[in-house]
Amino acid sequence: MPQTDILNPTPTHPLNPDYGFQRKRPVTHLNLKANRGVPFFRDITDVGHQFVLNWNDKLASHARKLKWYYEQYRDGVFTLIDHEGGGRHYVGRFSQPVEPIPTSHNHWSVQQVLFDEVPGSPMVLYPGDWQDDAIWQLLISDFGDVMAAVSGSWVLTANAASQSGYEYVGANAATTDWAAFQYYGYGFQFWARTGPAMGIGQLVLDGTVLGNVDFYSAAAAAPSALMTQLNVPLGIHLVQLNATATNDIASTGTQIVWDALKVMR
Amino acid sequence: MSAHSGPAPLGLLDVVRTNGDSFHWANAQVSAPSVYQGNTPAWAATLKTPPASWDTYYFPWLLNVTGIHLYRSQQADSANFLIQNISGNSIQRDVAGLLRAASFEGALFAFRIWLPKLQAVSFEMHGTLTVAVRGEQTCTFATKPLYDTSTTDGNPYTVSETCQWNYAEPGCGDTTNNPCANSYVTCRQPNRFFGVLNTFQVNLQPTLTQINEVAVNRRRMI
Repeated sequence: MPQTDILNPTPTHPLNPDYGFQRKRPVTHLNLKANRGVPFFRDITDVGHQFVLNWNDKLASHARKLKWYYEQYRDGVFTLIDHEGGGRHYVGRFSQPVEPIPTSHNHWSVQQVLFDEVPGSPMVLYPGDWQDDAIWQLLISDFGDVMAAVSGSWVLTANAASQSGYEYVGANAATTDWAAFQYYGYGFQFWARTGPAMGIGQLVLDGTVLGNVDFYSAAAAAPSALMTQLNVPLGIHLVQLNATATNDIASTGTQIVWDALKVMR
Repeated sequence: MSAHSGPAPLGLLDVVRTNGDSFHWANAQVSAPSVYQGNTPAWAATLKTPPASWDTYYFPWLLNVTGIHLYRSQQADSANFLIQNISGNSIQRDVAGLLRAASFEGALFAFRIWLPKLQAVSFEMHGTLTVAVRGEQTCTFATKPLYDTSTTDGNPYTVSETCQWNYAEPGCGDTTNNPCANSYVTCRQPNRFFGVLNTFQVNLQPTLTQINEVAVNRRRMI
């Protein structure tokens, strides 16, 4: 459980990096565009955040400890907490050697160390600021592409209340029907409307069944987060909504809906 | 001066593949009359709003056109069309799906330079397509000539004393698993022998008459 090894557990810990490092996330998508017209976009890799960190005026023991973190976790991961950034955790490693430089007696400087977030790593605390860090992954991109793939009986239907103005409505009559969406990030929220004539679907993440989503409500309700899955390591993930051909006993129909995902970045 | 003469010319590519599906790509999203029309591919049903007029709507997928050579002969006119292969849903790319659904090999194409202000064509080229490169971001279509002699069959058979069947194929019909020499004397299905006999040969005993027993296996082309 190396993610439980936290480099800087408290805001006053001496191994906190110096103030002001850049919160960089490398490009993880392809981007192309014709001479005139909308650009085309596709996530292709799950590279994580990269931070260039500095430690000035540290004791020799601190410099040795930083070097130890590099040696110990060259082929592993530890946790770095961004205390200035709200205490968000990042799990990764120093991907370049830590080379302490003596600046005076028992005073050391460690410069330009690259912390590389490692995708797929479990975390002690998964990012969970749905307000500031999460992004919408819409059914219809702003460039007009339908981003969810479907199989079976699904109808793309305009709905002004949907996040993109459209939703996929599934008849939910055959258990072989599905809708799926691939995203880059951590956890996700599944958003859709509910109503009195709605059925029950099953959400699957990367082949693992998360549970059923009941779209039934006594009165029609605007889209909301019907399922939140927080504890998902960074990566490219596939969310699938499977038809179950079932509904709530009080429901008068079986329809299920794909509206949007809210994805943690 | 050409930069000041109006809207920039556009490249329009019309494609009709051999199953009848038509595609219209340009380096801008534009509506224009097309040279080739065809069926709307099933893929169009996955679009948010399929174009009302499929054969006049150009998708902005054409990134680049290079290497245009026109020979005014049977030598193949050549060009390379670079098509984006990124758009699509979050799981499947559009072009990859189209390539999987049906072949673009031998698809008819017409490439034009279109002057949008004039609604006129300043250059036009025709041919057939072949898929040159299927890349992660792009797909390159190369060209083949409209009349490709290599795709035309030669003579299926020749008139010959040699049987034209391959051994044991349906026309031969022999099932003894003992290949012949395509000659009449080695044929075990003489009623199906597919050749012309101009040397009559009777298997008489050499002690009775001295005749040539060597099988005649002469091919004569007409």
